Amino acid sequence: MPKGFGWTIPSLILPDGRPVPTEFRLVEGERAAAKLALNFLEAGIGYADEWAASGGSATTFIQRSLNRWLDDHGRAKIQEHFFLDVVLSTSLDRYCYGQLAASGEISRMFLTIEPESAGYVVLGPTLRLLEAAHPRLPATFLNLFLGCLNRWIRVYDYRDALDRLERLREWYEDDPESDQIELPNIEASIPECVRRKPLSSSGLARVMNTLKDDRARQLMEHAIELARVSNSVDPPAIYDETRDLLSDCGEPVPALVAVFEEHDTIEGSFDEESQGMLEVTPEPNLILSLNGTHPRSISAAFAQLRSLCRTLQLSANLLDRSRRTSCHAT
Amino acid sequence: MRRQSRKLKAEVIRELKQLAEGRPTEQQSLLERYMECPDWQLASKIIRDAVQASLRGRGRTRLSPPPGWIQPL
Repeated sequence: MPKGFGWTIPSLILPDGRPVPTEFRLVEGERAAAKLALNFLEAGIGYADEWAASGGSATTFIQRSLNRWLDDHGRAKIQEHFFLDVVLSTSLDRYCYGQLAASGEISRMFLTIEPESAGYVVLGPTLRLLEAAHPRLPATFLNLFLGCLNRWIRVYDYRDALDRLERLREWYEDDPESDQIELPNIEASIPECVRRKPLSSSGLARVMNTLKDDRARQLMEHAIELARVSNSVDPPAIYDETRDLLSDCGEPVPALVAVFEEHDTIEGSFDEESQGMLEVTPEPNLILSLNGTHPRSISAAFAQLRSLCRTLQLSANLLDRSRRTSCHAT
Repeated sequence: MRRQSRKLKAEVIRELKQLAEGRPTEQQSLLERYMECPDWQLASKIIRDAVQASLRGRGRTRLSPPPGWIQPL
C-alpha cells in the first residue's frame, strides 16, 4: 500500500515547559474512589508508590494497591491450588458491581471471595500413610484440614456427596420405577479409617511424641499449624441486612473438591451437582463487610482477609506435601 | 528513605484530597470545558470526519480518462 497522507500531531509544551497531556478521562465515581483511596492509605492498605503508575486515577490506584497487597500475602503460593477472585465492591450482586460507587456511597462496601473454579485434592494416599503411623490419625487429619478450610471457604467433600445422595433418595421415594434407578455408592468410597473418632488435642499431643514416621509427623505438624492459624481469628458474621441482599442467591460454589481417590463416586457426585451450581447466582464464599469511610473498618476487614490468606497459604503447603505423598505411593 | 516515603505519601494524599473534594485538576477542567462547549465539540467532529475521509480515499484506484476526454479548464 502506498504511503498516504497522515496527520502529524506535534508534541505540545506548555509555557512552563510541562508537556500537554495527551490522554483525558472522566470516570464516574472517581470522587468516591478518591475518598476510599485516602482511607486505604490511612489504614495502611494503600501503597503510596503505586500512585505514579495509576495515571491520576483513584480507581486504578486502589486496584494496584489491592493487587500488591495480595502479592505480599502469598498470592503466588495460593494460586497453585486455589482459583479465587478477591472482589472489592459496593454491591454483592456480581452483575451490577459499581452502581452504588457511581452514586458516591462507600459507607457500605464488601470484600468478597469467589471461586473462579474449584481446586482438587486426592486424600487417599495421605490417609493411608497416616493410618500406618496411628489408626486414628487419618480422621484427626481430615477433621483439622477440612474443618479449618470450611471455616473460610466451601470445600466439597464426602459429606456433601452423602447429602446429595440423601436428597436423591427422597426425590425418587415416590417414583414407582425407583427400583430401576441406580444411585451412586458413596459409602463405598469412604475409607474405614475416616469413620474412626478423631483424637482430642491432648491425645494428639501424646501421639505426636511417639510418632516415628517423619512424613506422617510433618503432615500432622502442618495440619496443627493450619488449625492454629485458621482458628486464631473468627470468620466474619453475616448480618441480617447483608443476608437480605443474598435472598435470591444460591449456595456458594466450592473452592476445593476433596476426594479420596481419583474418579471415585464423590468426584462423580460433584461433577453431576456442578452442572446446576450456576443456575442461580451463587453466594460468595466469604463476605467481609467494611465501611469505606472509616480506616479502622478497612483495617479490620483486611486483618480477616490476611488470616484467610495465611490459612490458604498453609493449606497450599499441606496440599503440596499431600501431593508428594501421592507420588511416593504410586 | 523513610523521609522520602513520608514525603511521597503526603504528596499522594494531597492529590487524592483534591480529587475527593472535586477540585478541578488540570485534566478534569480541560475535559469539563470540552463537554460544555458545543463549538469545541463540533470542531473536533469536523477534524475526526476529515481524518476518516482521508483514510477512506487512500486505497482508491485512479481510472484513466476515456479517449477524446477534454481536460477541465
